[in-house]
Amino acid sequence: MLGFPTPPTSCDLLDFFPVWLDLKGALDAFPAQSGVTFRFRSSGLRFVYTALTKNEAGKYLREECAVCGPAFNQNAHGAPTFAPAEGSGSQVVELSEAFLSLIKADGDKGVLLVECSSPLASLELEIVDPYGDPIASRRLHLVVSGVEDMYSWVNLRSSGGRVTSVGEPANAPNFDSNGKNVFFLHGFDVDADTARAWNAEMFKRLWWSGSKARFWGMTWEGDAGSSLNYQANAANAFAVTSNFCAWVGGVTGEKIVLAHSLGNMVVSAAIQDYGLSVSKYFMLNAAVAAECYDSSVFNDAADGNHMLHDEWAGYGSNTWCSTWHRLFSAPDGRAGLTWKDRFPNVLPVAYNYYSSGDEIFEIWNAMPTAFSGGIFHLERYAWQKQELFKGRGIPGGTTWAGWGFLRTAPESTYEESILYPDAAAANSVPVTNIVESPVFRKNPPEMFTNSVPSATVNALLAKGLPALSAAAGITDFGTEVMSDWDMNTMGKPDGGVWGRSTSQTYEDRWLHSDLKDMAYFYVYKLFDRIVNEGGLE
Amino acid sequence: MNRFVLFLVLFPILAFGVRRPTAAEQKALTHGAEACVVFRVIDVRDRPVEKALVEGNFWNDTRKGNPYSMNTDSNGVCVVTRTCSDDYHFAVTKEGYYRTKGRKVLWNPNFISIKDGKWQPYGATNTVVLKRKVNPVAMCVAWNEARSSLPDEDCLIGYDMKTADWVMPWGKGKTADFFIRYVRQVGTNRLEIKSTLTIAFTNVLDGVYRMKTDDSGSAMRTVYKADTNAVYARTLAFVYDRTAEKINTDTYLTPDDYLVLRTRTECDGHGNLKKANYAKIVGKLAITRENKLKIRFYFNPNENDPNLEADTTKNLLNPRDLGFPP
Repeated sequence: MLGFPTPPTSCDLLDFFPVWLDLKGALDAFPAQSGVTFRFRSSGLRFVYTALTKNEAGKYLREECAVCGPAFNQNAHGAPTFAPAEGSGSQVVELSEAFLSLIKADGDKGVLLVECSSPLASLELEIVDPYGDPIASRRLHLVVSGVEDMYSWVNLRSSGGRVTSVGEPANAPNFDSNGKNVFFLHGFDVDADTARAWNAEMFKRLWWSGSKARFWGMTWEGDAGSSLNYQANAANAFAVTSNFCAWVGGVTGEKIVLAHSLGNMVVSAAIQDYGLSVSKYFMLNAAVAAECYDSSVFNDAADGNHMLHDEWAGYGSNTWCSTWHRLFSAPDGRAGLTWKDRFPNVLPVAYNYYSSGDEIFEIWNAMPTAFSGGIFHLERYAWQKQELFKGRGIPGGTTWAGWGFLRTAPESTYEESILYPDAAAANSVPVTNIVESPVFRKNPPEMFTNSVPSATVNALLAKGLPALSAAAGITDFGTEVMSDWDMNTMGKPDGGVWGRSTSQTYEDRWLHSDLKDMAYFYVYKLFDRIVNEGGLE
Repeated sequence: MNRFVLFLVLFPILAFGVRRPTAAEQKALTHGAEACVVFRVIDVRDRPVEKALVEGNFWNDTRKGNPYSMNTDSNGVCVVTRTCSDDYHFAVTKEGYYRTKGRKVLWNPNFISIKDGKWQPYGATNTVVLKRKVNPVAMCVAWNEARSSLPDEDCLIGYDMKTADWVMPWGKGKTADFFIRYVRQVGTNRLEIKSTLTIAFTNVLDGVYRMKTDDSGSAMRTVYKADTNAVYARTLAFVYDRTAEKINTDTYLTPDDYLVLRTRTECDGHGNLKKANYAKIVGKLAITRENKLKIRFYFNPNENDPNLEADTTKNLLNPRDLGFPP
């Protein structure tokens, strides 16, 4: 018995499906001494023995069930697989005596876990007599394809990536579809290939949690430049919004949208700016300032404010870039240069699934540097860093407005002399002066006119306007504002099992991308909840 | 004179917010410095806990940080020395006790945190309290937020914790443990909200009192037993009042609050308590925007048993809904 002995990992279990062999009657009719053999004739498949019953066949996905493997004493992840010997066409493999004995003792048993490795996979159960002549056989009808044939795909990138495919998927599991549509949009720093992996995982996880909605995988250009270019990609998010809205809005039927991280900027803007109508919107680890949804979290306190750059300590809040908008009233476009209340229209449909353990959104108790967290964990405090580095002209930051200081020299030369030499000087400047000569860096020029186009406003927000709140992805807004759910405290499996131990760097926190990176075995509650709350079943 | 100098030193810090790390501190925050922590594990009576497992990780400028795992000695002590560049986390466990976990940040803006290349105070004691498992009992627990739709606003509707449902005719509940009345007003801006949620009790000796959860990091965050001599209020109202910009009042339960309830009381002929059930509502009691009741509760079905320590391996309401703390 050869084939693929490598055991599946917990991450692979999604690709296995249970098959129950109803063989008790046949085993009673042909006891062991009859010499009759029970075997598979198959190709492109591998199997794991289990002692599960048909009623608990799906248990392996969510619980440790040490009833797998040839001796039925191993967990599914880790139990060796078996398959016919490799060769042309289908080959045979006999079912083990131990497995058949299980079935004979309990007809509800006889569950195998099966994985396909070829689109030409086939499976036939044969009962043969001692002379090798067939007594009976039954074929399992299989329709096998790559997972990407099971859902639609929309590519919002300007170039590269898998081509958009919005016709009926070649192998969609739509036999009992509920007619609904669920869309998923990934976050920042996800390239075209990784986007395919993201969507494949999200589709599989939703499906195993019972979703019967048609799945639409999407990708956008949120990976321009390097991993330090968050702000530029936040601007990209705004730029792609109309295109996203056109695609999603053009689909008929009920629409439920899921977005991860910076993908939420796209979706939130689509709902707010383009009137995209969705029935439900799940914000997953949203990398959008919390003040966009609830301005009560906007923090302009001068003390104890970890979103205030420490070089601005002592400067009155009226001198900050983030509050400059208060000096103006509509229709002056500068009145809109704020993240506050940027996306209020999202509230009636949004579900904020955040994580109190999210390392990207964690706020340090003082001013971080670019290396806070260490060179192997630059992602730690990333939200705080990217907001505090706006205007500073350093890696991970921008040269726009933000927490940079206005210099006497033109921006193109940026000499070192600050216009207002210290906080006292800045605080004593009349308001009218600050309108024309703000304390913060006067760049880009488009920011300093009373007519700022909306596209420019979005770019300014992304690159030059620091948020004064944490990310929505770590914020509990409260039940009266939005439906919240903390994945870190509520989303893990029962009994405290987790794929990361207390001794590891991030201990047992639910991290920013754990909804994908952690095996479904650990995060299934999240997907169950999305399916349930979203009405996807 | 010394006080004057101290004032001068403090004033710049207070006037200008959190101070910046010094060069030495910044170096330690980037590359790490030696930290020494003395873990002292005790029980609630201040008695040392021997052979408690203390494990965790000191954050460091490496992929894996600096993990550690050791047992306490007969004095309940173990000493951990590691390089650390930011914070460390810990979890303490022992059979028969609830786990306690926590995190400590080494850099402190209130004093110079590095001396001679070592985090200060070097050898500081981190006292960790382990709480015993006393007598956990199987309870009716709604942990993943029982979410019954509120049948109506601005009227009292009974809720049965044994069935996690409204009482008939609104639901399948039979006995009201408490009544809920909810009123919400929304202004022209959808964030101009005033809501009041009232929990009320009709039996004479039924009622509720409010507590703060234990913040020591123990998994056991509430009292073990309801106080049978406490004053149980017959009504308790939670108010949320805000404008679009500001929250004026918010007295709803936070994750750090819980309620202790006495319900289903019966009295003898002299007005003395004869029968009662006890329960707790932990961290969540609210109405969602879809008008669903969001509540996390533990109901002890044993009469006259004030025990609030839940057996986390059993749920009489839903055997599959586990994973809740005691």
